[in-house]
Amino acid sequence: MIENDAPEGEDLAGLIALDPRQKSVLRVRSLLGGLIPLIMLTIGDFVLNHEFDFPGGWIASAGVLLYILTVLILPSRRYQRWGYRQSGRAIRIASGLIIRRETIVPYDRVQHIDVSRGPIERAFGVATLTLHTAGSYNSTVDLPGLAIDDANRMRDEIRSYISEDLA
Amino acid sequence: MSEEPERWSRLHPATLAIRALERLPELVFGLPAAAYFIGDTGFVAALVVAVIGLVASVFFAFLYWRRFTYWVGGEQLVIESGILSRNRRTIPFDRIQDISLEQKLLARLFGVSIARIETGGGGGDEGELNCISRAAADDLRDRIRAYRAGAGARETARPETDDTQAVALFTMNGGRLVVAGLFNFSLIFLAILGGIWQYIGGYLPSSYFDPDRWVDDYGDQAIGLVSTLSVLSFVMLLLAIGVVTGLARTVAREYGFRLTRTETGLRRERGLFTRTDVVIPLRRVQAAIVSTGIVKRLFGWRALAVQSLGSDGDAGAHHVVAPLAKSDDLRPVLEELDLPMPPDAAEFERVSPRLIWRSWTEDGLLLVVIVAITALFWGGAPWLMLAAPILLAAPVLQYRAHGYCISGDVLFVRRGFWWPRITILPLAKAQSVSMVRNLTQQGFGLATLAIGTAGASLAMPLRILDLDETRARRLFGGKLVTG
Repeated sequence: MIENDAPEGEDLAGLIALDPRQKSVLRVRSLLGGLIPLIMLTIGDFVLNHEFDFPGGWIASAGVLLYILTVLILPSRRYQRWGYRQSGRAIRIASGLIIRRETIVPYDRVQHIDVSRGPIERAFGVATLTLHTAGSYNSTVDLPGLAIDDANRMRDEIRSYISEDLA
Repeated sequence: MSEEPERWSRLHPATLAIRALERLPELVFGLPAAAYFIGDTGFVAALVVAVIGLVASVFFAFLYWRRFTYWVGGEQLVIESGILSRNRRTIPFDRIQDISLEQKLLARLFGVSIARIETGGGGGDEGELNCISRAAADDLRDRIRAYRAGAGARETARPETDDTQAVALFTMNGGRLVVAGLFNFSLIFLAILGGIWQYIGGYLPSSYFDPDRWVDDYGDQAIGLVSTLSVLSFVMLLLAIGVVTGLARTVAREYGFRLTRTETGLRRERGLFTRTDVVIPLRRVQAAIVSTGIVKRLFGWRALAVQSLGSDGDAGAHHVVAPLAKSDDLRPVLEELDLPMPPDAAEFERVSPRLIWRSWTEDGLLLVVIVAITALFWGGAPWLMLAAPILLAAPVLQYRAHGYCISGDVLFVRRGFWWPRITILPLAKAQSVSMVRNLTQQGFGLATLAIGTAGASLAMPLRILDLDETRARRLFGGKLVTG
């Protein structure tokens, strides 16, 4: 078991960090997700340069810069803003780099739970825990980046609190 | 559950007549369109096609009616439907909360109504009997009640009274209908006219839209027409039509409004042309909303609606349980809902006054960006700055109208200057709570609390805006969710 580093910022004190492997998941996601915008910017640069005599290279290099930023710097910053804490009856989840959001979901308000793993997450051995509540706001609350064993353990734990009758 | 159906019932035969008559408008409006596509000479052909279509749809409606049977047993309702593939649905009475009835104008003429089976909890299909006679609906209701009484499921057994004699919790008399109608002033007819205009616009010759032609033909007359008096009378006419439309819409919707208590919930009957009879099970009520308007409030008028969980997994609904009421009228209704009356405005705690600065910052930046971008295309862009006074005033009004109050285990949130509304939420019904801080809020040390409630529309989560961050954190970690 790898020792997790603590989330950054005093408002996140006392929260447990996600599995460090989640950083790699975020990084691979930005790496793949940024490709299409990058290609489009490059094409746009090419077209503007040839058709409208727009100085070439500026847009493409701005795109490359942005791409490098999102792949190298953002994932670890975003990772550090994530944290969660289980108390006896509820779970608190914090996330968000620019818009900071903390959510508390009491276990007895959870309707059902998913543990999901996409291909990238599978490759790094992490999973996402999704809590479904009856509310139309926050109807799903995601907690990504849990080691698969942790996710399964938390799912079983929360499941025992789920009330049969909502109404 | 091992009873065997012995007597299957069919829907009321009037269903067929209603289906056919409902199709008629489509036919009448569809004909010109069909004729248009086929060509001028093809009108007879279009008529023939339409009649064949009508006959076919009536035939299928008949087949459906023949093949739709239901059976009310001692402890379950069984519905068999489907023309080719048969579908048999069994709804145990245990799961039925109540029966809601809806009567549209045509159905009222035939004395039948659509009965919807309201099942409890989420998930599962509901049943719909479209349409059955009033007697059959009452019979179904009685059987379900008898079963429940027999099963002893009700601890709070109420004396079995005839529904018509049950004490009304709230009614709308004629005077109140008129007042509600006057407050419901609406210019929606303008939108309808616009819609019709668009619809028929396509059939008019294109020269109709040529302004030059209009000026040439009628220019002199038009100048003569535009006098102060004519403008004034036109405005008066608009206002009069607005009042009449509001009255008509309100009367059509709220006529004969009657709210009563049933064993499982509140029962609301209303409507002049389309008469609805809806049961709102108390167990599904999540929150109540007391709303008013800036003028309405001066007269002490308020409306009460409840936010109820959807029938099966859908978003749920707002049910108006008192369209226009004084405080004293609301008290008994809220009592039945087991909710407290909202406290006076003075009891509410204000959010942080920095809300105003936060809004000014965000709106100001947005305005500057918009003006800068429009300036690239349009010389008059600085005129947009005229929006500034509105943007300056709005947050102040918003701040003054906004507040919250926690009393016991109930949260009250008031919001809105022009249309003040108070949400009454028992903390036990809060599904989740989030504390959200965007960039500006982080700068001002503010946080917004958003509370997830079941059955709310997505556009309106319950929010307490711009609390001081430490106070928000105290509420967030404290009472709000763990209750």
